[in-house]
Amino acid sequence: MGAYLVRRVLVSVLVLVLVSIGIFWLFRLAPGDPVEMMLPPQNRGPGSEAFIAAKRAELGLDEPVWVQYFTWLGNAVTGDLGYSLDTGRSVSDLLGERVGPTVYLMGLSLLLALVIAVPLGLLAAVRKGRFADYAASVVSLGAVCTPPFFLGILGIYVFSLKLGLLPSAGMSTPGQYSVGDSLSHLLMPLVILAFSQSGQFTRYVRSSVIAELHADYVRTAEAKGVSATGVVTRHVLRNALIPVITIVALSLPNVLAGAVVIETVFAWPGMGQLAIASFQGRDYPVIIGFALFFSIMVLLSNLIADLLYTLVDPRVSLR
Amino acid sequence: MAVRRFLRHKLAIAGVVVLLLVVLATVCAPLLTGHDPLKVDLSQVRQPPSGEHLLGTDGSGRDVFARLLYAGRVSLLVGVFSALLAVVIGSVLGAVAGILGGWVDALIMRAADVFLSFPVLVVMIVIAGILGPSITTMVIAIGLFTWPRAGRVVRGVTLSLREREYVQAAQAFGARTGWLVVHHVLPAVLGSVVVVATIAVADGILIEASLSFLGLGVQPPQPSWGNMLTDAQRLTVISQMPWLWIPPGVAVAVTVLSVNFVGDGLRDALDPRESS
Repeated sequence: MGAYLVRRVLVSVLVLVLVSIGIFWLFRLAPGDPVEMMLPPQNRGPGSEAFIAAKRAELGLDEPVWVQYFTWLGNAVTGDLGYSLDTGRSVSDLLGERVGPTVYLMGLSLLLALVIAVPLGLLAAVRKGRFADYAASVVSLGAVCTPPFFLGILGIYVFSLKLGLLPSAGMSTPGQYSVGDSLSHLLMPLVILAFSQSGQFTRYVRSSVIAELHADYVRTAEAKGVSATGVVTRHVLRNALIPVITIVALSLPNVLAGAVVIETVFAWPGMGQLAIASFQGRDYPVIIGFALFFSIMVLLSNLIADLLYTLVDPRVSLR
Repeated sequence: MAVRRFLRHKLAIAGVVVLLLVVLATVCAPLLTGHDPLKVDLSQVRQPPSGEHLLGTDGSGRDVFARLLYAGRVSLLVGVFSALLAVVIGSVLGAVAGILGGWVDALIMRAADVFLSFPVLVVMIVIAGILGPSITTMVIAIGLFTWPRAGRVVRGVTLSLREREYVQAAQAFGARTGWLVVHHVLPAVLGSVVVVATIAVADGILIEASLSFLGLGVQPPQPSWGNMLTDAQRLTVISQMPWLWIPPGVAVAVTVLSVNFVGDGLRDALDPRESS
């Protein structure tokens, strides 16, 4: 177990280094020279060439590329991701204050998605080929095929603008904090994000349960006289959910990508909204900070998926 | 046999019919509307649907119906080309991994896991944020980050082929890897690859819609189904001008759903082992 863990962590770190080289390389490809950008054309005079050269030396831009890379990496590792071009605030601070709302939205959506998907997938598997199965597959296919932002806009149209039941933007009404108020802000983004994730989960639960229904232990349990419900809930479901746990951990990056879109539609003050705003303002340091943060999250969720898989299922042996 | 299995699949037939209609409508756009999707007419701004403008006009007085049809071309092409790219990369790498095995296989599959775990949307925020958005960048990014699906399928089939006698016989006669791929692997994986490619087209269209909606993909004034919804980030547009955002949203959902139905039908027809 220990050796396995160490190897997996090392591979993740290696991938992270490759990703960081990729991000750095992209950054170098960006149009425009950072020093040239500091100096407006109307302020250029005879001395500006010397000024630019001096500034380049000061910022380390005259160093070889690999030295620049390691300087940048060293800063990033110690939490120094630079400053936003737009607001002048530290990128790690900006990211830090956005993590909370996103994790809140994502976590609850994942939970709700599972609450929808597990019973629906189970029902579809047990009633395979019958009406309930088709109904479940239509619902999950609908969830997979409809762009979530379109659902969000439809939701705003119906529930905020026509019926006036739910707010269309933000996490709370400024100045009047209450539980009811924040719940009403949460409801639409939560349900839509959960619904769009649940389609994929339902399919996994269904196929996983179907696979387990054919296992030998099911026949044994049936032969011993365990009721059909008992077989499914006490034996099948427990085994069938093992691969689903892995899928949930692996889907974390996708949920975050979904959150980027939903946060934009509902003006939810999370990482996604920050990422889109920094894209629109070409705020390079924030974009790069977001990319690094996201990459770490992707690799961590892969690692968690691997670990969960081996921890939950004693049949999986570690090499 | 395969054709008959496909025809039994009612939803797949419906999918094919709807898709044909969508493709025909976008290809024959000039015959269906006399309006230019790019022509700005400031005297006709935000008109509701009428006989002259079937789906009304947008904030620059452009005809929404014409834009919807021409947008379909862009969205469908992005879907098809990104799927092609993903399938080509995935097939080659999957076949190489399956045939060579060993550390090459381990490396390619590890890379597949990594690529698959980065959502295209987030990758494009970074690429478009630094290099600027463009259709080409988007197609390449979608292809580059969705190839592992095709790669895994092709590798799986290739691995099972390695055990077959006729392939081992060819190898024993000294057939080279390239020859094996062309003569044995490709024909065997074709069915599964077609299925994966169909689903990849649906995914490509969906990703295009999200990216362009956020401004990361197709750039205005060129219309795409995704960027036609960008305007609907303003509440006045959502509440007072539903003709601007309902048609492109429905177009994406219906098209993606149809492609998925066709994919399911193809799976049952070409690849009965895989059908659930």
